[in-house]
Amino acid sequence: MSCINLILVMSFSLIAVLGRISFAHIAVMALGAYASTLLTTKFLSLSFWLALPLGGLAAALFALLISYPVLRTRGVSFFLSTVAAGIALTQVFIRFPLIFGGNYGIPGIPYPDAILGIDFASPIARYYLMLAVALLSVVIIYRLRKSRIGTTIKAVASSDSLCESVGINTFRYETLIFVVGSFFAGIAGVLFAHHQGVIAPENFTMDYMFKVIVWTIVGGTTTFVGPIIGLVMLTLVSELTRHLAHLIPLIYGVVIVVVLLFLPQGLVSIPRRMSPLVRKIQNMIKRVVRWG
Amino acid sequence: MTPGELLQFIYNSLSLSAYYLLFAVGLALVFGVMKTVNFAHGELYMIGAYIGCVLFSFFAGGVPGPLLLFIAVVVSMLVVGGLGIAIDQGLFRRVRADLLTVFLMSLGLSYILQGLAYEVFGDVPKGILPVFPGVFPITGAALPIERLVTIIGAVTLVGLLWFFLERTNLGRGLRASAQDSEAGTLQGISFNKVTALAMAVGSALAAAAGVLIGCRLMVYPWVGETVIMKAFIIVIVGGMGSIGGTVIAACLFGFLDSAIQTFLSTEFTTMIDVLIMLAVLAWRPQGLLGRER
Repeated sequence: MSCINLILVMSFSLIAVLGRISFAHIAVMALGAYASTLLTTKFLSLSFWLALPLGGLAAALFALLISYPVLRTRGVSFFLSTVAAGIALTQVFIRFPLIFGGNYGIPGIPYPDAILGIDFASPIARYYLMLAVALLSVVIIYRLRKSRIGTTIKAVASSDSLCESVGINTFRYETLIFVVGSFFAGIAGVLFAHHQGVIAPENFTMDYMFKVIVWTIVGGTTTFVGPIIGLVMLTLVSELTRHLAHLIPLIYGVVIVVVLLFLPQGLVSIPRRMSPLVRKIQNMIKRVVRWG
Repeated sequence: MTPGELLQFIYNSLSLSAYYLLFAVGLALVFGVMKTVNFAHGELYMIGAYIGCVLFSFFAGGVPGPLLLFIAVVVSMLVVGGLGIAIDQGLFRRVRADLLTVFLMSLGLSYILQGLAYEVFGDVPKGILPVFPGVFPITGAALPIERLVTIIGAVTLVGLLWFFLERTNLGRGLRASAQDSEAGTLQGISFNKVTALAMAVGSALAAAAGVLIGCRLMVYPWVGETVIMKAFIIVIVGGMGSIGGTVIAACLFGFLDSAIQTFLSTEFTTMIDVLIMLAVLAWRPQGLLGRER
């Protein structure tokens, strides 16, 4: 599961760099999951390996479709419109039970077909598969951030009017990032579906979405590793408080409020903020040593 | 459609519009001043409803129904209004600079409040005893009296709000800060005081909605989530920060949802509402009566 969460959090932070918190992220993950499920079970009996990119594409297509109305809004309004889009999508899954299985979802999703002699009926093999896909996704996202597109996005994030004045089509770049981020969310959804074997609307709740947001914000949106650190830390916390499972949303809420109050740039900014303090301590030690 | 059915439909739609209006207008007010949405608004509604439940469970025998309802509304408005001020001054004030941060903080806060409510009250749904049972039988339609109370309550409170905003100095100061907070401070209007006031009033209205609706629907820790989505849709379509727009949108969705429930099926209300909201955002992002940003 952590591999799936890793993909989710990295793709989410891609979009978050633009200052856009997309609440539709989990919904497009669900879309990817449902798409690949339908492709491998009800409609055609495609192989998992074909369904994987197609699921991601389905998610990306949806993002493209809603990008016009949704990316025209800023900040909070963007958030709300993605919430709306997410809810609309989830409602579609629930209200059309013939296709999507309604509230009970779709069972009997096949494991990935054996390839190179590896049989994916065993959870360990599936784990390695998900790990491989996760690592590949992370590498791709990393290269994207380092590339010309990535630096352009950073520029757009800090000042879109300035970018537009030098001729950069900010809308196109924002759409690109939104679509790419959603693509990876869809991939995560496909992996989820073929690992769990059954999907239902309850797997893709707002609570899950909230957790993705908290992982990203707590870790720090500005850096590449930030969200990973957020994910790791909070997963640790969740594991340690397992016996209080029903309190976990509350804990996440407290964490994000505390972080936003005191560490707005996330956990990764701790070293940065500590360095003046550290230097002060170093100087004090030097003075004591010299005096002695 | 018989006259009785039509009357029933209009009556139900009005009551639904009143219900929507009451909790959406608080959100719109807060947004107008703070320029960001308070996600915890739904939880303030929930807390108001629980206060009503608690008061009723203690005093339902001794105090007559309508009076107790009135007291419950007033008490919950005061308590939750105070809570709103505390949230604003304690949390939002420190991160006022970044709107997104305020919003994310309110999101976290909503989960915190839900968790606390679950700890204190458990997840068994509670309700306030129906204070006005019975119906007006008119021309073959059955009009529950309870809904008239909702309508009257909503109209009264929103009317008071209108009076406050238009005719009092405090209200005008609030509107001034909402238009341009810097210019407001130049005129001597303290922005911190204004936001505290806006949060107080907005939260109080949410609480009142909670108590009034608690008579009809059940209350449980997560009731805020369903409510706030509706409020967002209404506020976005009406125009963020425009009270008049909220009124229009609330009536629009009140009648629309009522029609969907009567002629189609309740299941489709959320989907259709959301699609309308997306359409409005595509065509006119600032909402029906919103200002250009």
